[in-house]
Amino acid sequence: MRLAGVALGRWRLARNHLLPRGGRSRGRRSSALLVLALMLVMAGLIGSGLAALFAQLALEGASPAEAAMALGLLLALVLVALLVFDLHEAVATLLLDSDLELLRRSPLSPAALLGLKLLDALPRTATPLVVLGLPAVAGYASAYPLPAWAWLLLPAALLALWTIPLGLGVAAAMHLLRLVPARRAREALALFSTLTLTLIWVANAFLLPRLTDPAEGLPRAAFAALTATPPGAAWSPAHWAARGFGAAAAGDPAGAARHAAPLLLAALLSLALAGWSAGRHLEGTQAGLATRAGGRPSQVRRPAVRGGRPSLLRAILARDARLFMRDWTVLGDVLTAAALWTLLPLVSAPLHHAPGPGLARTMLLALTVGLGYEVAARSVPFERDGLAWVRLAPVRPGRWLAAKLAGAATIALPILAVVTASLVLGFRLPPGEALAILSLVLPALGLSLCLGLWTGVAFGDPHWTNPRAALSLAGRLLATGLLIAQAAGWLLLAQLAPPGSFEGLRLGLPLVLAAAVSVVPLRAAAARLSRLEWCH
Amino acid sequence: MSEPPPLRVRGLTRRFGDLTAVDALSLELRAGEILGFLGPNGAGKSTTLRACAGLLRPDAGDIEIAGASLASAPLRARALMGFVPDRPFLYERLSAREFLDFVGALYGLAPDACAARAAALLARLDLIGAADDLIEGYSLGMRQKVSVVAALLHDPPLVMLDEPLQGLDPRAARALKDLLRERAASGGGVLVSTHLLEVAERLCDRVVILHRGKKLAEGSLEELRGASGLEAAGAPATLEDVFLELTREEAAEGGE
Repeated sequence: MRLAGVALGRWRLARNHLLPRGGRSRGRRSSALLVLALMLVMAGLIGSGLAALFAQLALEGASPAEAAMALGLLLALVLVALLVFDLHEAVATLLLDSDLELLRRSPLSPAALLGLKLLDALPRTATPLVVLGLPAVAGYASAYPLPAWAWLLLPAALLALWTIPLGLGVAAAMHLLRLVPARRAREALALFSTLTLTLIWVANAFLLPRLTDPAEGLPRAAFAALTATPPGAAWSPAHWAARGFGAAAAGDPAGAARHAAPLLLAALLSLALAGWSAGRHLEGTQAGLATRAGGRPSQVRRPAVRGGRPSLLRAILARDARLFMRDWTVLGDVLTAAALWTLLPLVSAPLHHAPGPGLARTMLLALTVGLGYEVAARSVPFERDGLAWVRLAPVRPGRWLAAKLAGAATIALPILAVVTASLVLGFRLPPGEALAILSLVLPALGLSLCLGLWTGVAFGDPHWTNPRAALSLAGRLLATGLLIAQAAGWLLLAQLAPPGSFEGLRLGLPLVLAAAVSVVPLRAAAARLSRLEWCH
Repeated sequence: MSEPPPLRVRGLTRRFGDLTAVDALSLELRAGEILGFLGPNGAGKSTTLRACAGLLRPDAGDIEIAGASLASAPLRARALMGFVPDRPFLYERLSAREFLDFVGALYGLAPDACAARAAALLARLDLIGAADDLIEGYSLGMRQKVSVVAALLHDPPLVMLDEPLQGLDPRAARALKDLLRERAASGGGVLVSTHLLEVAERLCDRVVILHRGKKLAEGSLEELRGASGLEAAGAPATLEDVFLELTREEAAEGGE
């Protein structure tokens, strides 16, 4: 076996994945570059936020060693995010990849196979390093300048921080797949990894602006929490790395080396653990996966046999309800996303000002436009290959869409009802105000679900592996743009027709507007469905 | 006036970019007939079947299902056919019974009649015992059986099957072949695409051989033997011999 030849093949595979050649690959190439661009933008935004945080710490007199504790917290977050990403990638690339059978049958040693698959996983697991690890160190260095030699520590520290959770992830994946069916494990981990990124993003948008307010300074408690040595720091690889940078910033090369040494040793031990786990359990785990391809059969209650006329609407609603309730990754994701969408307006709300009806209305509007994407758009690719029945069966696209819309509303309305009730009670809104908000929010939900259905039909990917990425990247970006446009439009309408203006117009205008605009995406979706082709 | 045939295809052409997958193909499937669709890999068999099922739009040509045009009366045409794809279109987290209940509603079957027919077909294909298990736990063969039942549920005059025997054990394969013969005997039309030439030889009344998107030959085994010239050579020719001879000639011509 020529390891160099195998490695060259892997390189070509990775290159063709990232930069595909040929006319038909233009879309995939721009999509890969778009992902890279988005990661860099996110890293830039987080980096600027963290630079402001470290500047604030320096301004308030934190020493390099004290500020390094804040860096340690950030790197610990990176470590946790990497562990989630690595566990997902270990399951995806090390145990379920399509080329695994070929590699296993070739005369590759377990160590060489593991090495190849770890290289495969490197670019995909690097996201937390690029969007948080690197910006955290750069932010620290902008406030506490590092000597030139200390920058040599950066790649070694980042590589070690990447390797440590990967070894643990590989070992954990072997055991996880003995307990949970492979596909469910993969979807759940994909969801956790995306939610981790989302939480990092929310923390960046919500917490940092409050901590780094130059007018009010850093709250005392926050300063103390960020600069204190946390319990267990002596055993935290993230804090070893941070203390190494702290020592470097203080001009202490020996101190930097003393803190970097256990970090590198832990990385080597972790790699050894991955190798040992793969050598001992990889074969058995993969053999287990092959013999129970679909997992243990799960029996469900036999559907009741009814008499009478057939109902397409009832059939589609029953099917969607069954599929939705049996997929806890999607169910959990929708509920988490609903909470995040509702809380989103708080990011821009002033920290100490009392919220009023305006904030409640904005929170409900954020939820309603979000539900269009979370529920309606994803309900289309959620059908996976079953979507082909839209083209096979004698069903008009318009009827199918109407049933899907009813199904999406059946899921979205209870969520909206619970959140509305919570906000009305929490903000003690008078009934008239609550009614006025609902007169805006319900039409907004209708339009949002219609637009969501269109994006789902136009951009849904029936072969999704991550519930948060059930639409193509272009679809997700377009959906984001539509969400912003809808929220802005409804808020503008609320400003143009404030309470006190002609009541009938104020209550009826949103409904008329939503009904008129909803026709456009529904017609576009129906036209798209009637042209849908199924080549898979 | 005579009944229209279950399937009539005229001048079907389908391109993917520069590649012409199906090139001006015409064929007719008669009532009470099992027509085998043969051809090497990439010959255009699956593309033709998917176009006839309405999953792909033709670039040119007409497709009629039992007299209903797929272009001008698509809903009526779809109601008159059943299609078994090479990769079944199933919902992983439904049971077979729930899935068939759903498919029955799509075709407007009364729920009780649909349940009874589904149970009969599932029993026929020896799947009734697993009918309440989630499909995600099914083997390839079990999925194929569910797909076959879904295609036959509404008793259409035309059934099209793309590689229907893959993954089936010998008992299930026999049961499926018997089902298809019964459908043909009761006046329905069956179009089967397969790589298994022995199956085509034993099951089909006529075969169409497709090569590079064009129809190379069509007829009963005897007619094809004559067309290939093997009969004149005096050797007892099987369908495999005929197929290899015809596709070899075409490949040689294509290579010139």
